Amino acid sequence: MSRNNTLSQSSRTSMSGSYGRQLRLRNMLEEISTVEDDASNNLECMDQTSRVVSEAKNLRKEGDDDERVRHPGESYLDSRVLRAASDVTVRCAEAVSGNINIYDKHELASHIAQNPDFWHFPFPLEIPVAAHVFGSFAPVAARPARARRQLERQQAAQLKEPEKVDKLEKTEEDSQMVTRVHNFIVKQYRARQKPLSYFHAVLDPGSFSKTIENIYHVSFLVRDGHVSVTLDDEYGLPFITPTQTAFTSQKEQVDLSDEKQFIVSIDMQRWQDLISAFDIRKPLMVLKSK
Amino acid sequence: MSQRRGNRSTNAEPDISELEDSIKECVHYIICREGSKIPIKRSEIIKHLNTTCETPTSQVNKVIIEANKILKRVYGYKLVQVDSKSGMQYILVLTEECESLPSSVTDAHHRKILVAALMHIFMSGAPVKEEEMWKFLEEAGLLEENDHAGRKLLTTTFTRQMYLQFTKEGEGDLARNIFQWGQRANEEVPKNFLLGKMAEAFGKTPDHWCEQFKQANEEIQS
Repeated sequence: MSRNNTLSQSSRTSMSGSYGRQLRLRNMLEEISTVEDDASNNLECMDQTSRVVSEAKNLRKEGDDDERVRHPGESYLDSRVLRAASDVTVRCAEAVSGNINIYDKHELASHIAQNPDFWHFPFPLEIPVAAHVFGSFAPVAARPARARRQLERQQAAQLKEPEKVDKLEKTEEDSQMVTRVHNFIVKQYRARQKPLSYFHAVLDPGSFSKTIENIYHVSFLVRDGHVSVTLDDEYGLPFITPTQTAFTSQKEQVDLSDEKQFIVSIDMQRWQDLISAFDIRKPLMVLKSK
Repeated sequence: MSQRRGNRSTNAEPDISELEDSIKECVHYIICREGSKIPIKRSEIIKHLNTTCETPTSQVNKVIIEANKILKRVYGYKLVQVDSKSGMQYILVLTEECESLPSSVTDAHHRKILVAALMHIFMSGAPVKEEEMWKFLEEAGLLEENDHAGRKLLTTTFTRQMYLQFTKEGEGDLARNIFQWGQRANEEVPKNFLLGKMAEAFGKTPDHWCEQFKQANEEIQS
């Protein structure tokens, strides 16, 4: 304390008296904020705090009121020191309550450092954590779910595009196929010089779906008036005749265009029956798919 | 099982049998969820039961009460309601003290840090400042200096698990973060057990630390 006084005496004689005091107050503030970390127990902590507070008191005596008015910063720092000191005191008081706490954290820390395994134990009322083969229900489940939903949406969007293109190709392909079927019928008709048996033309003993496709294509030709399907008087069976537009008269064409209804129903059973009835072994209409 | 329950409690409400599946699902859910040690929100239980068993929300209270009975009878666990800002939450603890084996799932190093932190707070007899905690753990050789990832374990993981409470105290320049025991620590760790460990470590009797000894005894009596 006497050292402090002599220090302050010298500082008063110097020009920057207030400045020097402020500097020392700042140092005190620094000291008081670390006092809890440095002191090994409560008692030491309290001692240091009270020393800082009395030091601040002495410091205040040095300057007169006039000087303090001129330098409000000094008073401010002074109050900060007091405030910090009172905070430390409150915390120490909480820890003391009558008896002296003789816990030494450094002793405990070094014990832990030397015997780390002694300080590894489950708590008495802690439930033993069950380990699950597939992990626990950690609350992270929400995230993957959200990610998956996004993925699905993306896939749906991608699917839409090709669908359109596919359809277009199909119709083109269909009209191509229809033309091919027409050419085939005309060729057959020219070669035989007589109408073509409808069932022989469309039935494909190897494939029901191919048969359906053939029927479908022929029905288009009928609708467009390229071929006509007529019941033969002799056999009572339908025959296909190409309508040779170049040679038929206008009148006939009008007649034809009046009747272009063409309904065929066929199922698996009927298809099989027809194949055995006509004894068809090979498809007549063999068209390259492309 | 339902027969036994019928014999056991004659005043049981008749529609509990209808909730049988929900109750089982609830027990299952709680046990699985407890693995993470993060408190289970009541709203999460409701949501789970709504989706899996189509349990109406109005029945959930009844289901949780029944599930708690099963947890107690079969496993010796109990649900403890914990404070939280966002709705009701539960943690699961044992009904009586038990010497279990160290879990194979919890990281041994993490457990040592937790034990040291809880011990230090308890022995200090007051909340511990953040900086002081780092110094202590460093001195104990558990946490490297400026190991910010390791510090996160205390400020985030243990805090979420409610072993620790990490709060701000004071304002402006004087504001500091402090560590206190969380609610799970209060439920799972009897103070006289920790004091016993201290006594064992330093070859003293628990009443050597009279202040902590008093506190531990107060806890037993309450």
